[in-house]
Amino acid sequence: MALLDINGIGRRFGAVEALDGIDLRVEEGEVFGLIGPNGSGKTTLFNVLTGVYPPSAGEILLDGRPIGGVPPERIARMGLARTFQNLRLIPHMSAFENIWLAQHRRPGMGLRDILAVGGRKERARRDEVETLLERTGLATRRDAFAGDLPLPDQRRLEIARALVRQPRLLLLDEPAGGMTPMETQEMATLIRAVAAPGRTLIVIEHKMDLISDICDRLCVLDFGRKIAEGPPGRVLSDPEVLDIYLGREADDNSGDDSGDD
Amino acid sequence: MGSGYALLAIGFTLIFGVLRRLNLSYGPSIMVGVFFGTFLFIQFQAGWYTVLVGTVLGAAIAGAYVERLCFWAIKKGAAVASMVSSFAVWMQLEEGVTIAFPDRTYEFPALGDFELIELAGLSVRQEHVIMLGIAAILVFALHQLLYRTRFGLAVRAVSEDPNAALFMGVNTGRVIFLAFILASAIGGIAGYFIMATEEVITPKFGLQATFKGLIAMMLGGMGSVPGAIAGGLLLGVVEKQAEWYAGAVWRDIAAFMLLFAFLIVRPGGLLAQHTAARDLAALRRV
Amino acid sequence: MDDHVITVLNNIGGFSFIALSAYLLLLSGEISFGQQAFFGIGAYASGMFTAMFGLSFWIALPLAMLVAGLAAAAVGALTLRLRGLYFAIATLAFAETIRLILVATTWQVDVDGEPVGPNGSEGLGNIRWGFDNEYAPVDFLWMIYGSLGIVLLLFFLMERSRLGSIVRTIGADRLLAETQGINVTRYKILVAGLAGALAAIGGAFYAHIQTTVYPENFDVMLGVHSLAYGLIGGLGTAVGPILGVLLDVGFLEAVEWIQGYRMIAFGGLVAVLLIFMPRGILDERRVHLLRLMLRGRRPDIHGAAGH
Repeated sequence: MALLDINGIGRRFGAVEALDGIDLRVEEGEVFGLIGPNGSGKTTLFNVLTGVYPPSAGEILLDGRPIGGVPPERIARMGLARTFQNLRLIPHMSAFENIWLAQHRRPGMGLRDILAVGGRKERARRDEVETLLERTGLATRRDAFAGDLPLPDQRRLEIARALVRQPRLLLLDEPAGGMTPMETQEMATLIRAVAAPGRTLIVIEHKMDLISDICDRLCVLDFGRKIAEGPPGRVLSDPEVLDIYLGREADDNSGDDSGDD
Repeated sequence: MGSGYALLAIGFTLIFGVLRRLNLSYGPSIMVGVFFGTFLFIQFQAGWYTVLVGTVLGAAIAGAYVERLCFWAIKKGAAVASMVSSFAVWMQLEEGVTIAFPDRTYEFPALGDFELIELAGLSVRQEHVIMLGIAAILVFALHQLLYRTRFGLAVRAVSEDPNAALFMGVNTGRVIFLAFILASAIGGIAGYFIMATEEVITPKFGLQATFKGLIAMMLGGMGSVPGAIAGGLLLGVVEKQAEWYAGAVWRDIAAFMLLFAFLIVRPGGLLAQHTAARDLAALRRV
Repeated sequence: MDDHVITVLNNIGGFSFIALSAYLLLLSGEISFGQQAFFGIGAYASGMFTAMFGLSFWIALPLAMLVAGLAAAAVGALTLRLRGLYFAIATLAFAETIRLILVATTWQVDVDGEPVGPNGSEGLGNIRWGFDNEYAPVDFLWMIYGSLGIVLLLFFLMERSRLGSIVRTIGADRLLAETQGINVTRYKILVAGLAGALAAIGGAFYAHIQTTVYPENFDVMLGVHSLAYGLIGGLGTAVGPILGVLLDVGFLEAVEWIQGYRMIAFGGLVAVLLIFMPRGILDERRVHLLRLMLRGRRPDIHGAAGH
């Protein structure tokens, strides 16, 4: 059974059909790419998956359980985490605190945890955050305010913050957006390391070299519809994809930093 | 009474519209103007038009002071700081007036001696009809200003999207400053009419004016001029009814209960669905 | 200590509770103009329990906290959909409704041949528990600062615990909180209730020191002041709001020689302070630097240096 099974998902905003009957299956342990021109519905798909908007049609199964229209906090507790294209770090908190803030998994009110301050459990949690800072290359940035970090570090911090929730499925929204080729390469290394223990990833990206570098399979969206799907080598040489996607990209250079929706 | 509230609410809405911040010192600025007007009356036996001009002028100057100190000087993004700062200035204005006018209550000139007149079977105080008429004229003039002039266009551009307005070459700082003074002047007129019917003023009027204007604005829907008018009239009617049936204390209870209920059931207010929808959309945007 | 100093210290302590109450809501991202309602409910409820029904203060205090906490949670649940200014105004409307209802309500019972109970704008008098049990103002001083110490300790523990991180996440970015598995609704109501109970502690002490409380004690001025305290003192730590109270009450007392111009001076001072420190004196950045210094870590505030 696929970890994520999307059947005929649609989402309309007024008269605009942002997603129109998307079918996708993502297998456990796969790194799945999601590409398409601006406004093609990639981020909308993420928002529907994470419960920010309910879908207006279709069905989504995460590990066999339906999650369409389920509130975001419940979906998050089922093991789904994401990063944001336009970064939602808390700027006036340190890198450490941003990760630390995300580190809560169990339901319950947390009143009991007040008594655990300074205890063994809390130390274990702190160690876990330190380890993540280490692994994402942010150890020296530990005490810097998130708002003061350079963009590549902010994107790394977003990933670290999603990882602390130990997700089964991790959604990355333009992890290399606005980065130089050098920084993009470093990001590819990090993503491969994140995926190494068999974690399932869905990655939105405009940078084709990154996508073909890290993805097992990918899918192309255009105007809310699926155009092509398959291994990178085949999809990226598909003439229809080249025509629709890259042809339009040529006249539209706003590229990475403008919003998707 | 309702038309006075409506004017207060319009002033509030103008400021909130261009700034997206709450000016708690709005009422106290008007109070300063009203006291300046009464000063002219007591000291020089000034006629009603001089008092009116003095009131408007005083309110506008106090408004300019508030804008410079609490809004212009505090950087964008610190909306709460602006609000608290406007509260601090409120205390300043109130104490300043108390020092200048140590007797707490002063006489305010009435519009004149009017008889009750019969209107469609109801007996109505004539000055209320005059108030309503002048409020209507003012609203019309304001509408013309906002929709027929370059300044009005700039004000509307700033309230829609300050950044876009900036890129289009609008001097947002200037527009905000002028809109602020305009709002205070409108408030001054409202204050004059409310005072001319009450005939007694105290420094507490600042608090009252802030409250009534705020309630009327929220009832009508934030950032909407027609909404402000509807909210002001509704508030006036409800207060009068409650006072008539249950007494003076219940007048204010009714006003606040109405507001609380409205916010819970229909937070967008009477007439501002699209504004509320836009705010909601902004919150939902990822 | 002379009585005047004790009175000032008691006031500082009492107002610290409502300042912390407004601060807790600020942490969760809400501006409340209405915390004075729960301060007032705490004062009236505790005063009625001791004066009308002869309960001990130590029983009346938790009961009053419970009453105010439940009322605050109910208001929190009703206003869940509202944000920002809408929430602020709704709390203001609620608080004014409560205050005016107290003005309109008279309910007295006979205690030792005297009518005791809320009496409209005459207020609730005869709260004699402190007097009857021979508590001097200085005894109240210990009680207030003891309770404040406990509350602060709980605050520090909360800030370091999961609950604190959840509240701060909700305050900073509600949608982010949801995508991190936080049930925002539940925490909003919890925080509203806790904040209400916190304000009630201040109200209960206030009532038993003053022995008479009036509805006008709980007007909007108190609410906006309590909000201002957090913003003056700083939003980075629970010490901030208390610093704000100290500056206000302490400053006003210290400069009595400019009696009559105090508000002008203080208002101007606050306005200027907020221009340079829009998040207060002890804002997040300064608190963060202080913590690092205390731990002997080199502060790396400019993350822009290469890595």
